[in-house]
Amino acid sequence: MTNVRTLLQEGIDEARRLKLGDVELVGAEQASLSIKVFQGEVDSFSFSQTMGVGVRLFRDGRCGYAYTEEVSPEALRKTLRRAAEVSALLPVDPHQRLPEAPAQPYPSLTLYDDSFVALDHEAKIAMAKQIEQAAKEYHKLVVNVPQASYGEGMVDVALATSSGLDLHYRANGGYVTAGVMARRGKRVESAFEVRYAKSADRLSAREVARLAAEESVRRLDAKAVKSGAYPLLFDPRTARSLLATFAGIFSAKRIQEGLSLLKGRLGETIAASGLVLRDNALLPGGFATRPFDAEGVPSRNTVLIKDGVLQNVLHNAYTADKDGTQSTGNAARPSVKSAVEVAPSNLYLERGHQRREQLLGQAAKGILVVQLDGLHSGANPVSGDFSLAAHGYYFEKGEICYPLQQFTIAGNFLRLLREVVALGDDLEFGPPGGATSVGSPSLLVSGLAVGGG
Amino acid sequence: MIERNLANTVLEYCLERGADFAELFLEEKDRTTLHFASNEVERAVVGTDFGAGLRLFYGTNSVYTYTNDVSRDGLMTVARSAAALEARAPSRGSLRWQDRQQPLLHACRIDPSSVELARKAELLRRANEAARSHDSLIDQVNITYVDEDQRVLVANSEGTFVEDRRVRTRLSISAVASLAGEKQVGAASPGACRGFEFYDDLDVEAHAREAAETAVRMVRAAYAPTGKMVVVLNNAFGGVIFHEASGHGLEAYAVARKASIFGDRMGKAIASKVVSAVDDGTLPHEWGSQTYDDEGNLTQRTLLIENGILKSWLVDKLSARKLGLTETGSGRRESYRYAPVSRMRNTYILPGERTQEEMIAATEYGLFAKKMGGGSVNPATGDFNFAVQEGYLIEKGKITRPVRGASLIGNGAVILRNIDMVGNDLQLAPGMCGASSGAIPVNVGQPSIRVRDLLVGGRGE
Repeated sequence: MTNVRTLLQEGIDEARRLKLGDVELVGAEQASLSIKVFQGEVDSFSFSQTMGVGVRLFRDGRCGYAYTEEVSPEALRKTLRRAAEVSALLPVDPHQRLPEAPAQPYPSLTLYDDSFVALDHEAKIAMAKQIEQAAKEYHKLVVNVPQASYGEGMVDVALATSSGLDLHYRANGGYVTAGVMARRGKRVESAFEVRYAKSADRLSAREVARLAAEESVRRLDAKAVKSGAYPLLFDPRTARSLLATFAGIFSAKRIQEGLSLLKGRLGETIAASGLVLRDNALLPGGFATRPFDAEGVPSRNTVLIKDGVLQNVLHNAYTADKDGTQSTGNAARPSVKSAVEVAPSNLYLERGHQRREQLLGQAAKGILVVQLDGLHSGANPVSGDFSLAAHGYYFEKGEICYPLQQFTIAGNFLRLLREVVALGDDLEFGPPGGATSVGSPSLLVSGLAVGGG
Repeated sequence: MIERNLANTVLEYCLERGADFAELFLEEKDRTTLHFASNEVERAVVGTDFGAGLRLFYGTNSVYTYTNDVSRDGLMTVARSAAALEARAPSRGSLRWQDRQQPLLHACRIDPSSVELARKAELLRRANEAARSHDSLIDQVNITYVDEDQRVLVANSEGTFVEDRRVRTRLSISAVASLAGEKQVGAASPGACRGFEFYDDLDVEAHAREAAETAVRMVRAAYAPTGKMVVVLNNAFGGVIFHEASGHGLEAYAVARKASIFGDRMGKAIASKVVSAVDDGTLPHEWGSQTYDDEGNLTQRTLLIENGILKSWLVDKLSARKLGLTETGSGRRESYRYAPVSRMRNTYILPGERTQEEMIAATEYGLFAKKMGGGSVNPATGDFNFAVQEGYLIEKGKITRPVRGASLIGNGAVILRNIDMVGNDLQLAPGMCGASSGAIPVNVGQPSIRVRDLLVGGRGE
């Protein structure tokens, strides 16, 4: 295949020749591998190598997008013309222009780890097999492991503009997953775990298998919870999934469109006093760490909330220009097929000081939440309201008492931020989704509506 | 898209290297997306997806690989890498093409690529205007227009060599109402397997007003109560309950992994007697319809449940091998980037005798879920959840007041038995379904139904 950086440069030259306007080209070369094991065999083995190019074109204050996965000079030429054609549809907007070349240098980051290529297929298959085996050996009530997989991904990102940017980085990572079913009599429960890492030696098949197996077996003793208001302790996984679902409220784009509850609230107290929320694209070892964002703006570390006060929101070049401020380097394109949006990079709540046991002791009774379902439908990022299906444990006087059958929790995200009583010392990041990885420690929240029975 | 000769070379190479089945899937998809916000076209993206997927079976194990390079060299490179993973003796038999190409159904009349972008943008303006002028509380309207023209070719070592073309379009309208610092959203998203002619008959303004009306009603509503109660689910998108509570558990992919609550229930009662349900990929021009599935089989109408008795799974090629079943034309995938698995098409509960008025009148206390959002399920346990976009309280047989923020949770095995009334007002509604082979267009549907003992997760009294 053609080298993507060479192709982009040819595209820039072509756009100049055709006098199409200011052009930005993004190329992504991706490789992936996934191994799924079932009943001791490699049930499916898949791998891929793909390439795509996205065009953003500015012409007389109008912006048009086009993309192609047919990677050839002719296809790219056609794609450039289509972007120009599309731009005519857009209104003239003085803020629509190529970002200026950065004043500060780009950080030098190592985002690619050789450990994944150093392992051969056999070792990776062995790891996936070990997940299934370890889960089955964990307990005699484990009856099935419908998910036991190893996977990895690599991306080579290139960005070139008619203003002279010619940028590039390469990143990779891998993951292991375990989905485990336990059964006693007619009762079946299941649990799922995933671990993502930036180097192969940090992936533990045994750990992911044990966690999922342990949880599925425990759930066999679940009891119904009585409806009412309870203090809730969100574990790091559920806390970060809530934060990820509502991360859009910190986007200047959503704010400018009137789709965020944070409109006009910079400088106001919006969260409990101890809370610090950061977006740090430079975080060492972060799953979403990168030298520059989707439009070539150098990465930054931005404080969004400090001591409960909203300090900053996330910008790309367009939203920053509109608000008369600087981009925070949060332009994102989920793929070369998407338009430039605003999205977090490594977004996280800073850790607190309390261990799990201490947090459990802070409320006379409450519910530890370990799984949330329906986030894509039961949570509304515009209103901040959520009503979600959940799994968890009832606790009393610092002790976990018993697991609970599926229940609902309902509340409002902004109110929840104010009602955080304590933060754990157990900050954990989730696997990257698009340009974002979200992290949180455990969060103890004073009182939310729980439905059960 | 490619010559039979080339497909032959690639597939035979794989058989010679020991695969007992080989399949090529080629795809070219043009897509136009227009997004409208703040009274203007806010972004416009056009582009082409282009690539090929190669799948090999060794017994019930599979290898899948995909690439954008569909040249002879490109395809042979992936074939060599894929076939090298398993060292086996050559399979018996050689490839002979069968004449299986049927005329394509659901053909589009007005090719979206022949329509000027400005005409597409005009739809957005109309929807925006109608939603905003519906009520002064509406302060933002977001609309997305999408059209897709997907051409695929499936060639496999069983002799299948068929092409299909699926043209789809959808208009997604979302209106935001604001009142006293609170915001609520209403949505309407009509779509079909049609060309631009879809908009000839579509009342864009009516859909926009409907989205706006939901937002306005919900911003004025109190929070839904919490607890187990009787729920009357409206027709059309209300069918998402069957999709989640039951449909996913009937996919043979889950059954083969021993991860379906219905796994050992074939031929047995899994629902109350008033429930019959089908999954039908043949309905003309419906959102989830297509002539061929993504494994080169004609889609079909599959009777899933008849009077409460489980009649059939949804079966893809690999699951058919694993379970010894017949394929049902249900192998689907988002694109060449995914190996196909069994998926739903247009899935719905068949109509019964009752009217919605009767159901509400027969309910002492409960929830009327007029519009539903999406949901999800764990097929292994049957635990499902879904969101109510627009709800009302039923008291003493009458709808009394709107309530917001409810989700409904339950268990698939239990809920199907608790459906005690099925209406006569069947309607379908489009949605996107996400699973291991990506996000695909499906219709959900049902007549109005009444369900006992659903857990409503609200936060009001």
